[in-house]
Amino acid sequence: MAHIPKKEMIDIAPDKEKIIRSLQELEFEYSQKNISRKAYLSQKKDLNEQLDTLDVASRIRKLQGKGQAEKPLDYWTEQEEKKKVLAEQEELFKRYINDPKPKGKLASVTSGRRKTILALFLVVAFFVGTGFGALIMQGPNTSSASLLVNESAFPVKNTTNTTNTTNVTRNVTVVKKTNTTKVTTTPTTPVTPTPPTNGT
Amino acid sequence: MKKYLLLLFIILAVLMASGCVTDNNNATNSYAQNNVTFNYPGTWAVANTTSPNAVAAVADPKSVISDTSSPTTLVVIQKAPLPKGSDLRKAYDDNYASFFNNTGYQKVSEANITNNNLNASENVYTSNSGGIEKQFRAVWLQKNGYIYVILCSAKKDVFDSQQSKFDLIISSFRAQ
Repeated sequence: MAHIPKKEMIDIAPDKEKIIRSLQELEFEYSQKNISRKAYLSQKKDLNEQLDTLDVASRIRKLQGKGQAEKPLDYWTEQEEKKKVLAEQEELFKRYINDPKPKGKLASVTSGRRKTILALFLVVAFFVGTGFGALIMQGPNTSSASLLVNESAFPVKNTTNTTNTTNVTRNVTVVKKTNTTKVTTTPTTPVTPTPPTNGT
Repeated sequence: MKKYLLLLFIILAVLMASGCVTDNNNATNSYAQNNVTFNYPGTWAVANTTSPNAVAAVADPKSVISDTSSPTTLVVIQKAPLPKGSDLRKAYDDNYASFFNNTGYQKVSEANITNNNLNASENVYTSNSGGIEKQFRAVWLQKNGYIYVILCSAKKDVFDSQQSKFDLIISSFRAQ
């Protein structure tokens, strides 16, 4: 087991990824000739030693049953922040962003169907009610021509014959015309015979 | 919630508006002919009559004897001039003096009543003709020199149940 100085133990804490990033940056800087070869080699050596130290520490932990190396606080902080951001986004999405058009169309279609069904129901209910009422209501009165009444409060002489006979009397005035001719006779005066005259 | 209330209201409106179910038993019709007016039950009909001096006749179509056109529940109104020197009571007595003699009619009761401020005489009697027992109620009125006889008839077993209908006609009777 390698003896790890205290200072290096503190250096183990940085993330392995950070070391790798640092190496990559170092390579870049050297390729850009921003640093000298001597500095490059020195820093690369340090970084590689740190990596090795991390690997050793990780192995030691595994052997001790501690599992993987604990992640740094920054990692967890970042994870928490990511979770918060995701949660906020979801909440905003739910609150303000409605589903696109397909859901709206579905709602309008459903509403239209409901109205159609309701209207149909009302029409059917109307006719059913009207028909039911007409069925229960009694029909028009029977034609008077089909009913014949012959009861009477007055006594009927002939009990068997109950038909009513009406005597119709007709007054006929006969005017007799008589032609009368008045014959007037005037008495004739007797004619006294003229005495015969003697002829002389 | 509002939608459900609206729906309920519409349903109720439809039910109330459609097929108004009326109890025709309480409906009445009006008769106005031959200078007489009266109300009669809505289920009855105006009938033809061969009764002497009849001015009106109404009957219950449901009481028609099968194979005939003669109803058993009926009201016929007869009108006759009041004989000179006579009055309603005398005419009534003269009519019934021999009415029950060997005629098949049996007297049940008679009474003096008042109908629409008019003095009236009532005679109730029965008959048994053709195997059918009938009961009659004759109400005699006098108006303007005429005698009006409102003759109500029904089968004996239903006569009492028809009294309300007879009362409707008698109480609403008016002669001009």
